[in-house]
Amino acid sequence: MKLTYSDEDLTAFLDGKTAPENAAKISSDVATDTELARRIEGLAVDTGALKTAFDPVLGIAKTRNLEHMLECANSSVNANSRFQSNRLLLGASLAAAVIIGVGIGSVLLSPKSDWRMEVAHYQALYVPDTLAAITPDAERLKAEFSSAGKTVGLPLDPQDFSDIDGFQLRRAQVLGFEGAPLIQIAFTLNDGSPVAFCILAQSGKPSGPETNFLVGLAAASWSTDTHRFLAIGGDDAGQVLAFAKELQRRIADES
Amino acid sequence: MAEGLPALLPRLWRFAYSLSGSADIADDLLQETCVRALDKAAQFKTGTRLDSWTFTICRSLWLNDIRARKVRTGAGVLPVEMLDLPDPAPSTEMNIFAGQVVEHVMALPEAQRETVFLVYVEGFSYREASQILGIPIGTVMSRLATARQRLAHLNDATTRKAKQK
Repeated sequence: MKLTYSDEDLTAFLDGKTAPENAAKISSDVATDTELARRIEGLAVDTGALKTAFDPVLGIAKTRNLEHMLECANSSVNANSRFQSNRLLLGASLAAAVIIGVGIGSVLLSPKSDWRMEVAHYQALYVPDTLAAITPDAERLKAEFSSAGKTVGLPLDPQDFSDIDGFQLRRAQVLGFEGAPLIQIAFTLNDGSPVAFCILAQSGKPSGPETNFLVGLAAASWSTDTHRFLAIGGDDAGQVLAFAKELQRRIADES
Repeated sequence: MAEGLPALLPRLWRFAYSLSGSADIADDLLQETCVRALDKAAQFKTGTRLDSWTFTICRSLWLNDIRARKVRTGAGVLPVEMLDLPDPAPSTEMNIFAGQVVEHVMALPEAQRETVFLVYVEGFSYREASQILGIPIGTVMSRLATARQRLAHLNDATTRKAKQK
């Protein structure tokens, strides 16, 4: 008796997923049924060629600095874990302080971590409205850059950062990372997306810039003997890399 | 779990690329997949397949987070991007053919593309693919059948290639 086969049945047959007795039946029917043979031909694909064709993409993958991405992921998870631990410890400390009347500062953890991930988590909180209300004001920027420059030991002039194509300078502010001076220079893109350029006054191994995605944000980082730098924001890695290279050039010219 | 992850990275990146069609987004997707996998490591059951588990995370992030973000920011789902494929074989014809095959697979509708990739490129069974994709096995077979009809014309190129040898 001749059976009717669905395209799914024939696909399973071509994929070798059909039970042997059913496969034998289909093979037998194909020999005598030209329409079935035509349908089989219409579904036939060299799946081995599909697999082979994607092998080079594995080669490309190996050029994408995957181990570094994993390291960044590890740092992110560890930072988050530490944040949770700190919250728990803070809660426990407050409870203990209430009971025994002592300060809580000494029990908070302060481990070394990747400063870029800390910055990335902070930057991820920024939305276009964060900086929208901050209009560039020459006097204010001058004062902010003077303070920021002294903090990290670099001569910084807002004029050097106010004409970068596509990046609107908003402000400079002084921060800190585990006792090391850190500054953030904030920009917005044409669509209002926030982008930050951060400088950490901490010696590094001269390198970069290299690009990553940190907490979902495009980032480019580099180091000198005396400082570490990070440009971060948006989702266009190429744009952030070009921005980083321009910043690197301008900082080098100033120093 | 953490021990097995480094060896999986190239395959995960390739899957991320197959989903997004963009090398840069694949970077982002891979890193977020690693973050999620490490964060949820306690939920991974020893004895189950780490690749299936991480591929499921990767696809979930793509659907629920990164692709949605691209749509929100106006980027949408990116068009097929031509990869600069390294020479996979001594013959240039083979390289060109491989590029054409990748291009045609990447041009498939997303549902078919991810199914073809998991079953024919990664070698997952129908059942494993259905679990990664969260769909019935019958839907996997249906997607493969439709994709096969779209890709069947590649056979002509295969035949031509064979004749050139």
